[in-house]
Amino acid sequence: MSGALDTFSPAEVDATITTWGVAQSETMRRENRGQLDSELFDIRGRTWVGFECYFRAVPEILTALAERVSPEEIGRRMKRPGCRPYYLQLFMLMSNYLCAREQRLLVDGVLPETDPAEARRLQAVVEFFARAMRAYREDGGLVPVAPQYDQRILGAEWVGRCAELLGPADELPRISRALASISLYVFLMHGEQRDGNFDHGPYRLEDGTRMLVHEVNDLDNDYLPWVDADGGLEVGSVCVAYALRDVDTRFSIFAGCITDPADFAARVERVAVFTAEGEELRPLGAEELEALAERALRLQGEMYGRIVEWPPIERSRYARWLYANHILPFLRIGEAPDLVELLSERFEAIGQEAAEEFATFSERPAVFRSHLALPDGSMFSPAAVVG
Amino acid sequence: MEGSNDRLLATGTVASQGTAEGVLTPAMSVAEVLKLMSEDVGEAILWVEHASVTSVVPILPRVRGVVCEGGGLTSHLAIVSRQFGLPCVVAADFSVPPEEAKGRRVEILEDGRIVFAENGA
Repeated sequence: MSGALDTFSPAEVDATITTWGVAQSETMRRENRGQLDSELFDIRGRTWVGFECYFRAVPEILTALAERVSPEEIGRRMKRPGCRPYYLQLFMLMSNYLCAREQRLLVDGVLPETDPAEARRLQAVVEFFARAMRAYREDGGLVPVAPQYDQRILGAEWVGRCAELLGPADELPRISRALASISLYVFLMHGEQRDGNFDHGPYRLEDGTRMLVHEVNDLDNDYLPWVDADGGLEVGSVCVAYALRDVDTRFSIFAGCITDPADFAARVERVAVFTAEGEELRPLGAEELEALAERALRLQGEMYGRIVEWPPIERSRYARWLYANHILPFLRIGEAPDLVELLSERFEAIGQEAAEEFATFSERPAVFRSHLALPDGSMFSPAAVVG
Repeated sequence: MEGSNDRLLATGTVASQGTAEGVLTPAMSVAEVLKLMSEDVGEAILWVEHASVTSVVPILPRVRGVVCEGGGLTSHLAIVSRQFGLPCVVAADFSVPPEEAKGRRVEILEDGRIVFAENGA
């Protein structure tokens, strides 16, 4: 199949926007995401900067990437444990681009794609997302849907390889505590985004249990400038596979999972902890995991010290790096290193401008006040008819 | 717990199960967190406004529990508290001005209530 992003009809673009918009609206309401705030970062400011970077730069980058590697091939390459990019990076394409587009509707009174060039840009983002996502998810859909709300991305071979690593669950408290320290590091590194935390499954195993996989990735990030100059952790990912019995799961488009019961520790029959190194899954023992957690705790203390010293504008401007870090893995998995420079240059210039613009606003942008605050139905407008 | 309603400070949603007793310690600003970093917070039950987790990163692994005025079950603070096995109550609604409880011993109960400890100073 051609990698060119020109195969979707307007009806397919519309249908994709609607499906995504309904799912994002439901999740935003359930999780009360619009209320997220932080003492350390300017959440709304950085989100605005991210929206602008995506809207102005991402279509051309995806178009250039897709000319070399089809979105379907990108999606297929993502179908393994510990992979980055993962579901959230595809989420970010739609969410950020479409929110910036709605902001333009609120301010200008018309959707950007009444300009044919903008219509092609919208199509590039929506089509890349949909084609990659369908190849990525086992059910060929775009979002976790009722009644199961599953998020299965591994094929039978990978499920089998993860299941082979499952063992006794008697070290679970030790594992959970070490994982918590590593998660904390990832939340700080990703500037209060959930990026790097990924739940997927459930996968039915032969013994009747269902396997839930929790991953923490991007641990060896070498792109974000506030990460330690000597690099992050020694591994890129930590994956924990739980064989569960009598636990209900509901996955969301934010790449997380709500379980019933919320604390499922007593219902874990077997567990595996491993890291992905290329095509290999390497088991991590409790000692190695705790050593990683100890390093994460030290690094995050140092990182915190660097971040609190930022000038006020950097608390939103840092998004130029943070949001580029979502696109970067597509370029790496698509083996397009030359596009990394384009990504960084474009996000740097747009991010600087957007942060300065945000600092001048006397009130929050309309998209935060009316659109993201109380979404009802689909969050995003259907594509404008271009005559 | 019998009689605990007389000592009620707040009620909220249990985001991470468990009980804890400790000193209610505000961590509302970066400045407060920086100060707490150099102190012994082993007895602290953190009191925060927002359910973001990054603000309290340096001290979270060392405290006894967390009470948050905002947030929900899927808030970042809730996720990490569950992993740490740290009792955490979110969307806490205070029936006593929380400033009056600052520095006093409190208990997080299993049902999401926060009460003054029976012999709390």
